[in-house]
Formats: sequence, structure tokens, C-alpha cells
Amino acid sequence: MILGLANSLFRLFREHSDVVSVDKLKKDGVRSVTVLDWSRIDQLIAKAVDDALKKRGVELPPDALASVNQQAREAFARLLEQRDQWRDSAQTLEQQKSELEANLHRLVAELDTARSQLTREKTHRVTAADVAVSRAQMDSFAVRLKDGLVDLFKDAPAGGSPELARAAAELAERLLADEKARALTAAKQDQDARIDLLERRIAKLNGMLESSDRLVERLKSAKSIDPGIESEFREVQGLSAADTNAGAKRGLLEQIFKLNVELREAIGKDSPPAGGSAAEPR
Amino acid sequence: MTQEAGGDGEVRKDHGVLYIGMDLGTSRTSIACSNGVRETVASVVGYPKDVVARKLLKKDLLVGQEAFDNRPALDFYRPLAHGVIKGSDGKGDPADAKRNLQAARDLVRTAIGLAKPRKDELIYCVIGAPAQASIHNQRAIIEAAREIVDSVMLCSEPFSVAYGLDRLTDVLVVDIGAGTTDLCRMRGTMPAAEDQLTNTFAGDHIDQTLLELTKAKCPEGQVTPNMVRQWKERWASVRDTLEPIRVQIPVRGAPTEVDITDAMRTACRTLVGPIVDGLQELISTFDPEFQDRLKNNVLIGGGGSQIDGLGDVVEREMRRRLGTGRVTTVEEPIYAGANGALKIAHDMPAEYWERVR
Repeated sequence: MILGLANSLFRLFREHSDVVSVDKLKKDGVRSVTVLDWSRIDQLIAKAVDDALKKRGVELPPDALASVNQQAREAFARLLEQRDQWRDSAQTLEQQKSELEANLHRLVAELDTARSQLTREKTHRVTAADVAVSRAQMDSFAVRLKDGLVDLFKDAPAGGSPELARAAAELAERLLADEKARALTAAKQDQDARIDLLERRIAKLNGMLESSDRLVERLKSAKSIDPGIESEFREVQGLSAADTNAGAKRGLLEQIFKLNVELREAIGKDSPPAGGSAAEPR
Repeated sequence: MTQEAGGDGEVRKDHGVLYIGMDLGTSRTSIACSNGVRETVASVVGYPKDVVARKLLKKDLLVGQEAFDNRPALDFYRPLAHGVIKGSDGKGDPADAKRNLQAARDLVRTAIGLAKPRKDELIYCVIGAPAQASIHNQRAIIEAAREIVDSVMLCSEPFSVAYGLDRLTDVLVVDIGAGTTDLCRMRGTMPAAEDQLTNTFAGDHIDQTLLELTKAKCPEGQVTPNMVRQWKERWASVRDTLEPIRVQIPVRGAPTEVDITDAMRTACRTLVGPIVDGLQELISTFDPEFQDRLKNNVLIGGGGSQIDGLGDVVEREMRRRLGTGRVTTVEEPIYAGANGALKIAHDMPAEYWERVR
């Protein structure tokens, strides 16, 4: 059990550590490094437990103390893992937030375009005046006209007659009207299809926007996860009374404080600094 | 930044307290924080020169190595020189001074951002600023920091090094930076003006000397300050005996090997004399009964303390001129100032933090 926990802690420490090359350390002027091995961590946990118990006036038999120590080690390992998980979650959420923001902008723009297209299509329905007859339609019309005329004139005497000419003109008009009607129907069908597509697109975009909004809400509720690194201290510390030089240090700290108060007073009286806004050097 | 009372969209700062110690240096800026973050960044700032550069870099502000790497496309600033913000003495072009001041503000803001603070924690920051920084400088530093932190205090750099190492009495701290070397006499109280000395024999001086000596040795070679700085960071030494240092210098386009061993030693040793001069002055004006304590308690910090053998050579020179001397160098030259500032921040009582908010 102990060995398993030690291995697990060792793994956690390795995962939490940054790798720094010896060259980089030398370059940074580091001549020696502090090494914290497992046995020392073990001692520190035991001491923390011991101190906490003593503070509360609790004295435990050795077995019970060993058990509390073991629990503390396990809690320590859990905390390390938890911290790791929290940091991962925070990073994932931050990433999601950036992606979501970019996505939201894109969705809103797309929705605006689709809505204005739909309005345009609905307010301007296709009429015969909008229909242009295509080359293919003209070719088809010409073929049918030719066939009709051939059929009309097949038994006609040479030189024709006024009735025949009128019948030819009527045929041409009918065929042209048919062609126009066909083109208008096709154009209306195309427009209906476009409207249908736009309505479906808008419905889909609205759905996506709603789910994005829900995600934003979730991110807002998860805002308490901070990507920063937690300080060792929960409260303001101050000089320890047990410090070997406490008396001298207290005096020195007071002097530093007074000098800083004087500095602020001098700054208050002084004219504004030469520096300007953050944008100035750019 | 103020503590928010809660409500819609507001963050309550009730989760904890993050302390940040910062060493704002001419060459690099380091932070050490109570959340375990320790970062160092070159004290250089760049802004894209034009729209094309901005589009390419996808940023309005670049700091540290990133600024160095892209400097041809940037309006490039090294805002601190000789321990203060450039142009803040009122001499020179006012527009340039304004730009350097803004670059210093952006540097401070970026450095604090590197601490990765949580939104719901109070942030208290102590900045080790150059002892000789003017009120304009200090104002710029405080204002830049206050945009991000809840409360900020300044203290002198050498003092923060001494505080961090618990060496508060009868100690002489020598903080060798890029622009200046600051000497500070610690006698259990806040160092007064007469306890502090500053000279400009520091990292930049070594670079300049090494550049001149290298050019003298290889007149046709093309050498830049950046190349020289990189050689110094790799091989700086004051030892009598050194492994040969050979570098490649382009001569009419062809890489040419040049031995800079003597030049390196000579350039680095230019710091020794002025340091011992300063030590002598601070020791000779101290209570004669305690002078030996000071002599045997010299602490060298800052980036310059990485010069190989510097402690030994300063000690030798002290023995020659002052009869005795004992010098130690800090363990972590890059973070000693930031560590000290962090310790001050931690020890500062809550009411003091509240009163300077």
C-alpha cells in the first residue's frame, strides 16, 4: 500500500514538474538545486499532522497516529491529482470559450445573411416579367414550332391561304405562351425550393445559436475555475514571532513601510510622470 | 486594482494571498512568488514598427527573449540603464524618455503577469528597485505595478538581497548588475545614503571593454555588443589561469577564430578595483571597532557574481589593501534579489499593506 502510494506520488510529482536543462540552469546562474525526495515529503506530511494534532491538544497512540499519517498522505495525493484535473478543466473551458465566441460571431453573421435573403425572396415573388427564356428553351420552342408548321402545311396548296397564315400565327403564339408558362412554373418552383432551403437553414442556425447560448451559460457558471496558480497562503502572513531576528526585522519592515508612505506623499506632490498612455511608443 | 465587494461579474479576493518579490534589473528582471513561480526575463521591450510587423508578430508588445529575437521588426527598448529608467534625469530627448518610461511600465506589468496570479487572490508585491532611482522612476514602477497588484512597496536592491539571506548586521553587500554595481553597508537598520555607494563598473562596462579589446585584436572582425555579451555569459572569469577562450568572428564574411582569453580576464578584472575602492570607503567610515567584522562579511550578488573567481580575486585585493577580507557569493545570483523581496513581502504586517493600497 505504502509503496503503491509512494509510486503514485512519485508519478504525480514527475507529471507536475517542469524539465529544465542543466545548461539553462547554468545560464540562469543556478549553481545548486534543492532536491526534495520522497522521504522528506513523507516527513513533512507527518510533521504537519503532528503539529495540527498538538495544536488541538490531541495525543494519539502510535497506531492511530500512523493511520492518520497514512490518510494525510492519501489526501495529499488526491489533492495533487485534483489540482491537475482542475487545471485541465480550466484550460478546456478556456479553449471552449474562445472557440465558442468565434463560432457565435460566425453564426450570427450567417443567420443575418440567411434572413435577409429570405425576406428578399418572399417580398419579390417571381413573375412572368422576371422569367428569361433560356437558349435550350428557345431551341426546344423552335423544334416544336417547326414540327407544328410542317404538320400544318403538309396538305396545303402551293402559295398558301390567309386562313393558313392565321393558323400558323396562332400556333406560334400558343407554343410561345406554353413555353413561357413552363419557364414561369420552373422559376416559381426554384424560388419555392430556395425559400424552403433558407427556412430550413434559418431553423438550423437558430438551433445552433440556442445551443451555443446554453454553452455560454454553462461557461458562465463555471467561471469560478481560475487558470492562475494558487498561492501557498490563504491569509496575510506577517513576521513570525519565532523568527530569530524578529525584533530587528520588525524595525526594518516598519522603516520600509514609512519610506513607501513618504514616497507616495512625494509622488502625490510631484508633477505627473513623463510617461504617457500605453499606446504611445507604438 | 481594488478589492471588489462581489456581485454580478465581480471577483471577490477572498481565496488567498499571493506574494510577489521582484528584482527589476538593467539586464534582467526576476520574480519569485508564493505560488512557487520563479521566472526571469530579459529587461527588453519591443513594439512592432509598423502594421506589417504587427500582423506578422500578432502582438502589440514583446518582452524578453521574444523581443530580442524579433528586434529588426521592432521599436526596441532596453528601458533601464545604469540602474535607472533611461532619460529620467531630464537630459536628452524628452520623447525618448517618455518611450523608455512606458517600456519600463510594460516590463513591470509583464513580469507580474508571469506570476500567473489567480483573480480571486490578493496580490502583494515588493519590488527591489535601484537604490538611486529618482522619484519619477519610482512613480512609474509603482503605477505600472498597481494596475495589476493590490498593494506594492519598493525597497533597495542590495537590502532585499541581505534580508533574503538573513544577513542584516555588519555585512557589506555588493550587487553587481548590468548597469551599476551597488555597495550597501548593513548595520541592522535601513541603510542610509551614506551606507550606499554606486558605480558604473558593472556588466555593461565589461561588455564595452571586451568589445574594444576584441576589436583591437582583430580590427577587421565584425563584433556586436550582443555577441560580446554572450561570450561574457559563457566564459567570464578573473582567474590567473584560464582555459583558452576561442571565438569565431566574421572577417570579410569568413568565420575567423580569435583567442579572447586575455581580453576576457582583463575586461572582467576592471570591476575588481572599483569594488574594493567602494568597500574601502564604506569600511573606513564605519565604527573602527567593527571594521574587521565588515571586512570579513562581504557578500557578492547580482548577475556579475557569476564571474568565475571574482570572490577570490576581490578577497585577495582586500587582503592586499585592507589587511584582511572574506568574501562569499550568493547561491542564486539571478533570484537572490527576488527571493529577498518575496521574504520582505511575506513578513510585512497586514496593516502596512492595507495602508499603502
